[in-house]
Amino acid sequence: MRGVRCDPERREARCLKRYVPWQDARVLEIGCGDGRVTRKMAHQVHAMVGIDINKEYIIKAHRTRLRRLQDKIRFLIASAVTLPFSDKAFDVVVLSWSY
Amino acid sequence: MGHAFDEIYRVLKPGGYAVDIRPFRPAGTGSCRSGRPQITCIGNQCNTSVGALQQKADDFRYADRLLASRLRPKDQLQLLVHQTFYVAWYCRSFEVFDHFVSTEWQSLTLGQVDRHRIQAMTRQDSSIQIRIDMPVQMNVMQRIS
Repeated sequence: MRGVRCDPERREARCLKRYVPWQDARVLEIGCGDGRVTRKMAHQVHAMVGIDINKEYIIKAHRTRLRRLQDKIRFLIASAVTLPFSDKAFDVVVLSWSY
Repeated sequence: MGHAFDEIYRVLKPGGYAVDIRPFRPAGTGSCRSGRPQITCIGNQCNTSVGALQQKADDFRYADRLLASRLRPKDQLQLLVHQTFYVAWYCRSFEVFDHFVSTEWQSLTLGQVDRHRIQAMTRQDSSIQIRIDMPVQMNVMQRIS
């Protein structure tokens, strides 16, 4: 959102990086919203898919997707209870701010 | 969220990691302010704590119980790390802050007393930024088999 800066201290990204091997991982982010977390982590991974049930968020995520990471990131409208992926497809799954 | 855990398990490779990151409500904080997202006005000279956002604890407790139920020994996800920390949002004006809280965080509300206090401070000094410190928890789990 314009006029709002989120986590400029990068505490969230630091914490995520500390405990999970992201390097070359295939990552699914559930509840990706506008792609804020996806964008932070995507440069390290092999491929990243962000899903959200809210269409408006996915449109916004597409709009703000970094050009240099276009090949790595995909955003889809999908529900967490019926994931449109095959078994054992991901190395890391992030349940992002979903409760 | 319950069915989501089944699906997460299904799409994870054995040995893969599941990361659950979401707002945190410390146990035992009840209705006291210390467990809520704190609001601070950031000025040139000093930072002033002006209040806290109000939130329902029920959603947090439900998610916590659900996560715990999935981590019993018979289940296939093992908890490796539980960590809490704060994530900060900075809003450049009261109007931006108010819009942000009402549209992005619908489970949170701002009390009238805190609202008036922030409005008064930002009227006095338009350069003031409003910071929200959200308590966050991160649970890292690994698929065992």
